[in-house]
Amino acid sequence: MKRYIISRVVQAIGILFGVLFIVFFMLQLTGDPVSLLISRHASPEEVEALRDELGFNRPILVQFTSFISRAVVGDFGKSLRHHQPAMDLILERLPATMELAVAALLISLVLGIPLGLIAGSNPGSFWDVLSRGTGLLGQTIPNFWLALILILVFSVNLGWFPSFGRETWTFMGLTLPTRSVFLPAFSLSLFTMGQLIRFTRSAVLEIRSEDYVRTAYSKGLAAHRVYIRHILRNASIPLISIVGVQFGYLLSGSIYIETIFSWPGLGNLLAESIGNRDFALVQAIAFFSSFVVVTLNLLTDIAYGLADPRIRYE
Amino acid sequence: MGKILEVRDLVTKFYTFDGVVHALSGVSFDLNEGETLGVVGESGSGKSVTMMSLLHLLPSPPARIEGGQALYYGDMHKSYGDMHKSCGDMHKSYGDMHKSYGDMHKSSHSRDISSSRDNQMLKDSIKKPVRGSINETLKDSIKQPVRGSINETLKDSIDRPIKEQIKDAPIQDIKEPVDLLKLDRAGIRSIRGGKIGFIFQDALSALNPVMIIGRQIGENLVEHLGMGADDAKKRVLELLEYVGIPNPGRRYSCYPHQFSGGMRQRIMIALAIACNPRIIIADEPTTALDVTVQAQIIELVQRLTREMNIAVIWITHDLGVVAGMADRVLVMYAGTPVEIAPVNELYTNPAHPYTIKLLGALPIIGEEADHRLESIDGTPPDLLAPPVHCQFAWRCPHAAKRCWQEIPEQREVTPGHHAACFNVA
Ligand SMILES: Nc1ncnc2c1ncn2[C@@H]1O[C@H](COP(=O)(O)OP(=O)(O)O)[C@@H](O)[C@H]1O
Ligand code: SF4
Ligand SMILES: [Mg+2]
Repeated sequence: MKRYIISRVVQAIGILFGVLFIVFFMLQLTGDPVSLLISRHASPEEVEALRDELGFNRPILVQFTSFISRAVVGDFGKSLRHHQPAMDLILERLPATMELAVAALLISLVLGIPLGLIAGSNPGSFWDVLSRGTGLLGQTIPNFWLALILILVFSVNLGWFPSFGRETWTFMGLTLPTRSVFLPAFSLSLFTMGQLIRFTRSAVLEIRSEDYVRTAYSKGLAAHRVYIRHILRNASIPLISIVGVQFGYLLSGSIYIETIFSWPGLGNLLAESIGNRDFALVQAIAFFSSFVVVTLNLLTDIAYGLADPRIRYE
Repeated sequence: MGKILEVRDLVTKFYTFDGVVHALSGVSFDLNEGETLGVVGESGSGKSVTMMSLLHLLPSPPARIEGGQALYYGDMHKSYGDMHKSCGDMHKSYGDMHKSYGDMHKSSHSRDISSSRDNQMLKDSIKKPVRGSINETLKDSIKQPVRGSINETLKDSIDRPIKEQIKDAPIQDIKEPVDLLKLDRAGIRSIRGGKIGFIFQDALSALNPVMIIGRQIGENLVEHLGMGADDAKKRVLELLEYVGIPNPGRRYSCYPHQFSGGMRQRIMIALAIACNPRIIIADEPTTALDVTVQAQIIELVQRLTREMNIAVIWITHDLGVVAGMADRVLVMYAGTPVEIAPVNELYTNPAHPYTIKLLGALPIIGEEADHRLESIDGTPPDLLAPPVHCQFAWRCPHAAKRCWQEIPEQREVTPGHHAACFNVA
């Protein structure tokens, strides 16, 4: 297990360096970065001055090493628009995105896993057809379209939920969500829910016919014991990785959903910074999202190892 | 010896997209207490389906049991409390068995059941006549505080001459048999694992990969005997020792993939015998193992079943294995039993042309060769549309007109030897 974890950590660090490399050269590929930053009417002297100020006239390798050495301590420079360190802006927006991501994950877990279990345990039944249908819709309906429909029905017509913005309340120093998170979280959860239904269903179906489940029955165990100890326990292992990957995707913030609901999270910040050509901020967000995904994958791998002794004792 | 199981005209079909697979068309056989019945036949002949049908272990759909009876003559009507008690006692006399074996050699009453010395003595004692040693055990166990029904029986049996006991069977004959096929869920659950243990072919896939083996064995005890966690663990450790797993204390918490193939099969065996079943069904338990390990496993099962008086149904491809260990042999072909006979009778006087071919395909003893059953010309019939005449007709050198018109029923060759062939006088 120790070797397994170490190898995963080394892998994760390697990937993050790759990401930094891409983030850096992405900007170079757009041509002359300075021309993106300055008014079209600026004089060549002004352009040269800015280039000098930002260090773009140094050799590329020098620029890259200085970028990396600052990036590893979280310094991506200042946002051109906000005149604040890019990382500070991200951390400021993070709670909103976290709230949305956690809410969306919970919704998809609470709906997706039971539906998947029912479907997998009764293949061909009405519930199976229903669950599979729901799963398919969840994965195919565009979530921004669903978001608009939900706003129309539940905020405009019924007035149950606000149609945009994030409201919170504070209790004993904690910032807590209100119902304003519900519509965006539900829209966002749909894809993950579909994924969970499908994976849970196929995991249960597959494990039901494993030899060791037959052995469990041959021991005379009650059906619910076989189900919980032998089927669910084993079916949950492949789900760990689905949940990990999906949570990473939710946490990196959804541009569509956050924009539609004016949710003050990372996705919104990214959309805004792209619009403003705020390249330091775009770079920082791109790296931050990758960091979140890679970290979650790492945690997923470790959880996987803990849950499955065949990996643990390799 | 009394009957423990009587299977009559078992019919099992699979309703698949391709049509109805007539997997079993009327399987009948008896199993006597404490005997080993070898079941041989080509793959697909219905050996596994027969045994799984008995315990309702086939997936349904597609499987459907459409006829027959499987009468179990054991003591299934006991309440759980009784079972618990008697199993507790069995447990004790099981320990005593070790002890009495020890006594035979050193005539001192060692309390230490789990020492490896005892194990050695167990091995030694195997060479002793079996009946004798069992009765030693019984006598011995009588000296222990007696409680519960099993020991009552034992006491009874002690008062009678040994020969008489061997001749007529104990308790079971008086009991009303139960039809396993008619049992409800709760009924069949108390049979599974509790009265009939199953050993599957591939222990690696038959054991749960993410549960420690100690718990997998212990689950049985908790379910059937209502044991608490501590008692169950103690018993599991004894079982592990008993089936020859070295260092049970440490191995208890290991996962199946951490054992060798042979050790895994021993664990399966411990699991199957945990609740003192009356019958063990072993479905090709050594097919996946190499020859040396195979021999060890066979020896182990023979020893255990002898000591615990368990009847064994041993399914195999390997006629050599059957010859070495079975009391009687059942030959299956295309979902029907074609011949059943005591093992010596079958090998010296086979009656069914299929059996004769099988034996003809055997290599000469001592020759190194693969004596699997696949080496006969022709193929078995299509079970989607089984013929309404002798299933073996187109592979049979003696097929006559009648063989193409009717299905032969079982005929007696000599007492205890039956074959389904018109040529049997
Ligand atoms: N789940 C199933 N669906 C359809 N047919 C099956 C199924 N299981 C077994 N059978 C059929 O039943 C017959 C007997 O199989 P089996 O008892 O496994 O043979 P074996 O003698 O090798 O143990 C085979 O012809 C097989 O095709
Ligand atoms: S009944 Fe006829 S065809 Fe069938 S095995 Fe006997 S002789 Fe051969
Ligand atoms: Mg089989």
